[in-house]
Amino acid sequence: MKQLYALLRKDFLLDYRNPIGLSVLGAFSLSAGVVVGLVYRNSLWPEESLLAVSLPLALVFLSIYTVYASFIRESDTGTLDGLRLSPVEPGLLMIAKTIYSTLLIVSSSTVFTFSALFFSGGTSAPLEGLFEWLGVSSLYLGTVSSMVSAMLVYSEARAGLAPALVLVFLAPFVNVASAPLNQILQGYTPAPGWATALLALSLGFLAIGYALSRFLVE
Amino acid sequence: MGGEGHVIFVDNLWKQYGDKWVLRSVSLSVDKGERIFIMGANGSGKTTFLKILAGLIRPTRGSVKIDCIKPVRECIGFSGHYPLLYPEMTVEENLQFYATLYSIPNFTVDNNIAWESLSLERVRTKKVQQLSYGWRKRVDLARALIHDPPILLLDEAFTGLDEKATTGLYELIKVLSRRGVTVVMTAPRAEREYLELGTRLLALEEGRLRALEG
Repeated sequence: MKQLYALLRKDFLLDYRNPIGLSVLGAFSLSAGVVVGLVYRNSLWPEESLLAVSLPLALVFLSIYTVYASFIRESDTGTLDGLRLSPVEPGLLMIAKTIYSTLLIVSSSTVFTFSALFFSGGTSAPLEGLFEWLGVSSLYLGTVSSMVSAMLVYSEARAGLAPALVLVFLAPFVNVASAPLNQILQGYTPAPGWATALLALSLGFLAIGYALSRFLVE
Repeated sequence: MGGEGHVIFVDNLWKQYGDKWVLRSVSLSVDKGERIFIMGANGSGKTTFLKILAGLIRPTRGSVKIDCIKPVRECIGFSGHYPLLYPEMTVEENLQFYATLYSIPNFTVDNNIAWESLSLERVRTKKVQQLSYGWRKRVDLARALIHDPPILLLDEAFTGLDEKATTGLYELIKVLSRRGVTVVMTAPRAEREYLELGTRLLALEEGRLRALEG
């Protein structure tokens, strides 16, 4: 636990002291939310379609960003070798990066959602359900982005491969998560078990990432 | 099976990058407490060789055996060309971070064997990004020694150090060696101080390792 805490604290500290990455993420989330909100305010589209399309799209962009902020950043600064030399298990590195990526995605997607809702004039969708969806989805995307980051850490073609791999891994997510999002936005209670299914999918990917981490990061 | 009695036993090591062979049939046995100096021009394969010893790179062929009671990662201290430090963190924070990864209880930077000999107290609270290359190298040496490894791998450790730091490192390596630490170092050329410090001098030329004499 101490090692996990140290790894997370280190990532927080690096982003806090060199906030360029966080600023880009925050600026993107805020401005995208504002633009989406204003466009919807002046349109005849139904209120519930505001986030149905824009939120998953924003999440895809955020996931691609966190691919670069995870193992790839560590590799670019040369510090990945320091972690590889240490007795920390590669699986623990994967878990730490997943948690940090999830936190980045959940916080920036919250900024996006709030600004979109505010500038569109609000929505009648229950926020509680929406944030439950955001939380579980962020965990899935955090898992996927960390795994993709580890897969591409030594790849010279990562600029093209990162978005492609994120999109491939998003296929099961779209299958499971789009229906409950639409239902939540329309004010309905989604069929039970969607959150468990998404959570199971996330943990499944995390398990795969954990198992492969020895080969990906080593 | 060879390797008995040696701390490091390298057997017929080959490494290929693309179509270029960087290491060709390199074999080496190192005893406890030895100070090996490997000379070689830029691109001769010194860094690759040390990284293979450290477990950072896999060889194309051949094997490396490290004789150590603890897990291999806890037995090796490695300091390379590029300091493995986080620029936004202070010297103390970097060392504390690595100490936690190595699960060192009650760690304080002052206990680090390199702290005094490399005069690191004056940069304790400075961020690594504020330090010159030479100072970063010193801090990286302290990082490499944080877990008291019985084997120390230093890739061009003297490069970029001023005279005082060179003397400090020189003395530090001797102290470590007296404690039984095995040191494998590289350098781009055969300077007098290296010749005096090494108990064995080797040259890496076109991927092949040979003993230096005279």
